[in-house]
Amino acid sequence: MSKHILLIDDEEAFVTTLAERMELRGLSPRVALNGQDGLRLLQESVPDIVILDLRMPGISGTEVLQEIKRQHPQLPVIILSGHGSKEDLENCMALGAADCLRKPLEIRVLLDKIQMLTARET
Amino acid sequence: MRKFSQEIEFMGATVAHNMHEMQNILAIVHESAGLVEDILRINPDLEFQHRPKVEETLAHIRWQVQRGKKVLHATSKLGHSIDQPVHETCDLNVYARIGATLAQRMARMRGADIVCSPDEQPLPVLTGALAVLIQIYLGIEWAVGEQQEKRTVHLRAEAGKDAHKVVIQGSAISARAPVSAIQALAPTTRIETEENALVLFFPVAQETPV
Repeated sequence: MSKHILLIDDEEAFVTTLAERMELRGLSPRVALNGQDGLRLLQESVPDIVILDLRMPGISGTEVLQEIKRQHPQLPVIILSGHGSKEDLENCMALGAADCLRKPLEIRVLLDKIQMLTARET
Repeated sequence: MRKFSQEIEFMGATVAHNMHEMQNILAIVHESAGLVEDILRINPDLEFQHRPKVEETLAHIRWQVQRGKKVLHATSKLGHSIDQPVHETCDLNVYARIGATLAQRMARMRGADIVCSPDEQPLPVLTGALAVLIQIYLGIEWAVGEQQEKRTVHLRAEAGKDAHKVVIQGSAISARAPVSAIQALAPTTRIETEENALVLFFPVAQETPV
């Protein structure tokens, strides 16, 4: 069954291209361009995994992470950011992120992480 | 003094933030090239006149993205080393690599390559990141020299008991090592010169810095 992935990132050109590449690999991504929209999509349906940027206008990635973990403690969240100091990333891990990855990265690396984390959940 | 400090912190923070922004731009280039590669991959029988050239160009883009990623990471670290002056410790292993990356262009312009061999473990030292970076840069600049023929500078970080060290080795260097300039940046750094090599010893810190 196709994995449902929620991508939350304000870099539209990046996130829509990443979503297209995921679709080509049989995954079902949905895109939110800010934290508010991401949380709204989460209310509509719970994905298998969330890929979340850290720095976005409005609600920050850290706040979105906290809210996701409050609502769905078991839902895996990968932080994927071009920003973020080591302290930021350690803070996200402490808040329950499953992993923190830096842009740009090979899609294979991201897909392996998704596979590992969603297999663990099922 | 405060004005200078504010200015340099502003520069550090601005450089670091804009380097992060460049990472986003690089990520878009990377994903866009990746999407074209995906389309070619799922259509292996799709032949068109310039297919080999397109594939070759995509490989160039991939290589340049990796190169850009390395430079951006190093420059971002340089920026953060300026905007966080309170940090008086750093991981020598990380900053030896960063120093080598930052000096790469200067070396290439003088016909030299830098080969960096980091240690396999963190090497926490009681010296601030910025001082370490400048010291390593000065050492590399000396080892590169002014000669134009092709040569290699080797830089390696090694663990020690009381002091971790960086060895910077060139070949047939004529100029005197810039010992006093390096020493002035951090008086706790011990410096030894060997034939065509400079060894910088940094006092060990007990904990790995953040």
